Amino acid sequence: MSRWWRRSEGPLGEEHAFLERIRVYDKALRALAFRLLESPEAMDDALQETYLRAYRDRHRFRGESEFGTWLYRIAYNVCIDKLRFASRETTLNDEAPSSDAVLESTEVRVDVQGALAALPAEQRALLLMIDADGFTYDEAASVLGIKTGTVASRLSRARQAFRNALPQYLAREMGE
Amino acid sequence: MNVLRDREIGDLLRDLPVPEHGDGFFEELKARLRFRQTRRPTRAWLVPALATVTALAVVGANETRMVSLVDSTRGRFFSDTRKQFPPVKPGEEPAESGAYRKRTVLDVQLGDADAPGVLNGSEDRVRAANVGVLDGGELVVGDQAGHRILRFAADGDLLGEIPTPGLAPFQAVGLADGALAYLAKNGSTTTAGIISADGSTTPIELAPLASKLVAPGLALTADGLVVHVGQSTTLVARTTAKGYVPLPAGEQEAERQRGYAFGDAVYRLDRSGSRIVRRADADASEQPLVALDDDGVLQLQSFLGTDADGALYAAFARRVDDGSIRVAWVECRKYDADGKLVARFTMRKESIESAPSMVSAAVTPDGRVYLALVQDDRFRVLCFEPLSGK
Repeated sequence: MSRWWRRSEGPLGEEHAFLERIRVYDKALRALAFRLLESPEAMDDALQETYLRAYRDRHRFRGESEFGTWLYRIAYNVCIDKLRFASRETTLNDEAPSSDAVLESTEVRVDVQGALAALPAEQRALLLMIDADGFTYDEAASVLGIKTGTVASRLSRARQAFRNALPQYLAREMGE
Repeated sequence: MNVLRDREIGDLLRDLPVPEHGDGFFEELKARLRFRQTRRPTRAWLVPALATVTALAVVGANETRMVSLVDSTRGRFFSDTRKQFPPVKPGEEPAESGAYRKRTVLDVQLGDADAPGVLNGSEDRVRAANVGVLDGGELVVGDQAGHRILRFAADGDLLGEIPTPGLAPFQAVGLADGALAYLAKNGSTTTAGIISADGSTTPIELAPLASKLVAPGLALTADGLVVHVGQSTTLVARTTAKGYVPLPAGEQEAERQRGYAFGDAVYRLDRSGSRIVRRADADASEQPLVALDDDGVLQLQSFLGTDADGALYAAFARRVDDGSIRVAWVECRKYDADGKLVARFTMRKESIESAPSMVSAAVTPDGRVYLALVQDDRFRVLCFEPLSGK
């Protein structure tokens, strides 16, 4: 499994070093934020806030987890905050998600994106972290703020929900 | 039967494209980081574990903040690590806070009924959001799902409702002579209008991008014009019943954050930058006016307002969430036109799960501050009145 987000952890510090360091994890965080918020603009907003929070709190990072996991956790919390507020924000953003703009128009990708979008945020995050990015259960638990033992059951439910939400893919696989 | 294997799920997800950042993302981030570096460090009370003694020494300059925290949470002074900080317990909120007296002017149930006094919505999905204040202290509240604007007396009694068929009004602003301006959703577009005291409606032409804005806002200028602001755009526009006048924002100062007010200038709450910026006129660039402290992360639910004297009011929803300490609260500050802090009041800190959500704020010309909160499926409006004039 790819562990590409894990890099040697250099000292945190000033602006330049901080920017260099977050660039290592930027792609993974973009994927998380975009899959959760379904809009490039919202993704950028969320990651601006994520990086500012991380920079502000960089002295609190004590190396008890991977730096990437720590960043992931901040990003996840920021996205959840935005989703919660978006639901309070009424129907202002009830237009179709703009994710289509960045997706290629192949059926499979649309199916996969749609299936993923149909899941609750936590299930989306679990699939992305564990199945796509290779997080351990401990790391995923740290990001989501849940017990490690809970991850397995929730991941199982997330996978099943994803399978159920991917009818076209399954239909094709089944030769229908 | 072929079943999608776990490994194949990962392969499918990794194959999905990921968008790049928008232009100037890292330049903007860099500018914001630089702004932060110029500010003094705060929240030394969060220095954990082995630094306890050091933290106590460092905390000296922030003693007020620290004591305030301990008192407001009914907790003991923590002596070891943040993990030992006690849980937040609800307590009585003072009737007076600083130079203000607090009173509840509206307290109604959220639900799905159309019964008088019941707003459509729930705590998780608030549809009755923004509150506006008319002359004499009457309140107007947009009931989006109910397609109406409700009007309440200053003491909270329901006076009546203004039907807005086909529209989901989400913001109403009181105008002179009992009229009000509103923003509403009409399907996927945003519309605006002015409802006069006699009930007639005059549509307002919004600037072209308004229909695509994520969180447009509506406010009044000192000269009575309606202004709306868009989130995630650079658009600020002055709008009248006869048309709009775009006010271009600076290139690097996209209107990303909610929060705005209008007196002689346009103010914006830059939440990520923890500051309030001001633009004196359409052609000027934004200038930092107030640098906010780091006492809790600013949430999206933050609002600005101005009174007749041009004083600036900022209502913040704030939060501390580091896994061990999880508290949220609402506070409001009053600044003079030069950005000097004049007064402030802070509501009780509560656990994030139970804390009220601020959904709107309004400031009257005479300096009263109204905060609309949602908690336990109730919609409450609190009024903070200056104890002795302004």
